[in-house]
Amino acid sequence: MKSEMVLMNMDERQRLAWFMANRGTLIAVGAVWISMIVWELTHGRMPGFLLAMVPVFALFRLGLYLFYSSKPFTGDGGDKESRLVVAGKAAAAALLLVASLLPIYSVPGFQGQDTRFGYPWKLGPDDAGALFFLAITFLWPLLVFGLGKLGRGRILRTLTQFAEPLLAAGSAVIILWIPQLIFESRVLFNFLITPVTPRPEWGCYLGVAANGLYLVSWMAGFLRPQTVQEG
Amino acid sequence: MKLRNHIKQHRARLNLTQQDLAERTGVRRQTILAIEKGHFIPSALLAFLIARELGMTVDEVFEISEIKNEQEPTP
Repeated sequence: MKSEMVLMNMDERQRLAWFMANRGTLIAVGAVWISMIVWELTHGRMPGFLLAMVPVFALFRLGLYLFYSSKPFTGDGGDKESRLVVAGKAAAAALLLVASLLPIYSVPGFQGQDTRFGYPWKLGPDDAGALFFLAITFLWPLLVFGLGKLGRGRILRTLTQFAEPLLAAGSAVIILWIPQLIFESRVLFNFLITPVTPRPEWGCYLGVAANGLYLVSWMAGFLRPQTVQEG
Repeated sequence: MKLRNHIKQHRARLNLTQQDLAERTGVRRQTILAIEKGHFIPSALLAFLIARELGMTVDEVFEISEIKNEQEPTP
């Protein structure tokens, strides 16, 4: 997992100091926890939750220790994004771009009319806000890549690191939500269209899948074993 | 046992500052300072990187010195 130490670009001495600071903080938290147990007991109350959590925390710590013990710390430059992760993200960005050119939903024809298809870029050509909204929905990976090209500063790196999964999830939700967004307003003004349910089309499936691929690639990069040494 | 080093001498020979060496090895200047003063023992990888940047081998830059009053462990 990409830790805060990687994001802050800490070297090995700083990481050791960070671990020691974490240890000190844990000891302080433990002391406060024990004080709370003593406080409750001295006031005649049974600190059930506080006591029950002691073995839970102990087991959690043991579990984490065993997990990290089994991980390699090889110093092979694992802090850099692997080619596979970058390829996954790039493929997802390309698929999302293709999805933006396909129909997102269709409305079955009724009373002799043909089926109507909803293409993203034709949804609100006159509305600059809607156009911008769609651009963010389908082209957000380009924005992230652009930010990455701007520099590898600590703040920028941290921002993009946490923005990526949020943007991917947000984009998928919006793509699924587009038909509802359009038809909700029509239902209010035209009761005749109420029984018509928009059906998701290829663009919708592809858009959601592309965001899913991006999320999986991000997760693969995030959970990749990290090195202690950053050379 | 203690890890001694000759980083400072080799830096001076190459006219390198701590900052220069830190940038070349991907660590902070304070880390180079801590290693030079013997306050921090670097990982094997960093030791190799430092030696490489100084144009030396690891055992020319670092050496283990015995502390005189250290007690030998009983078998």
